[in-house]
Amino acid sequence: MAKDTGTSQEHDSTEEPKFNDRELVDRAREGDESAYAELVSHYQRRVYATVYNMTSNHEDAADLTQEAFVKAWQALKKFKGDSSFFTWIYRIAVNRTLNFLKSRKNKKHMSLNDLDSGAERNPDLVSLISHKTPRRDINLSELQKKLNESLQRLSEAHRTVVVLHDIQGMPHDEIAVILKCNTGTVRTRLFYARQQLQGMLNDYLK
Amino acid sequence: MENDPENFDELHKLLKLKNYEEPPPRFFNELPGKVMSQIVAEEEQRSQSWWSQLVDYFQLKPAMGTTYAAALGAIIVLAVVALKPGPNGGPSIANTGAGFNPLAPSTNLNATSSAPAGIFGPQSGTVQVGFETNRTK
Repeated sequence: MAKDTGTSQEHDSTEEPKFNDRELVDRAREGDESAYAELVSHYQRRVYATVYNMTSNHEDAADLTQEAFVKAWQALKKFKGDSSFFTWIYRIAVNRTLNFLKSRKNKKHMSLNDLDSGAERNPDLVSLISHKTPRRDINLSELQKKLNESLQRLSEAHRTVVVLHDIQGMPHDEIAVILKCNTGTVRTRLFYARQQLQGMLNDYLK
Repeated sequence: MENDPENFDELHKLLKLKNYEEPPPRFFNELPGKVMSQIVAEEEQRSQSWWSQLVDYFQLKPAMGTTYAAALGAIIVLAVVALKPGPNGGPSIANTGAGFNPLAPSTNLNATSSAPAGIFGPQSGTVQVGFETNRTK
């Protein structure tokens, strides 16, 4: 089984306790729109990033993120608080995205976001591209395209766990809650997804 | 070789590239506003569609609309009559209890009874009433 690397814990819930969403959720449940807008502001980046990484399409991700937050507002009365609001909104977004991906099965169209300039300063990425060629900018874009194409070639189930764990940094047990499966399933899917990705991206990993 | 953790480490390095993909500027400034606008728009649409569905229904079936209107009018008139304050201050429905429940003993009977003394007195009983009835035959 593959070992977990540092990337998986980058966005873990270390910042969660600082943001007490319980009160905002209670106010939103009573119809307070400003409280809900605050929740949207707080979670939008992570929800959008997840959806974007699953679709590799900015326009689809923007629409799906918006829909997920609207749907969550409409279903807020049913939110019992068994899980955190964060997990709950993630589940809504992931399920909507999976349904969307099934419906668009035959028309995979990528619409990639631009790379932040910080990518050129990341030592891991620099080491990857410097082994290939000194033409850094071109190769970062090329790598980005190749990486997204490879992700889109994975099955939806495999892509989802790679996105949630390896890119978003969620722990296995939280992914299991979101996907309503056990952690063993998450680990197995993750292992096979990494194997496939590695095979597809072999030229870029030497 | 593929199971070698170091190979997955290289893959993780490459996957970090995904965290540098950024949506267009101002996207996250505008998204909460768009979400809240859509929420308000959908709630308005839902309440409008409820009303317009009702109007459309009665426009398609005017006879049904007339029947419902008449029935509603009748219910309102009955309610007004029934709840109209009676002489005792309470709703008039309380003073017409006999009409609504014929099996219940009427309060008017006791209040205005002209029966001979003794019939409803403490000494009277069913035997006495029965005797009177037999005598009239």
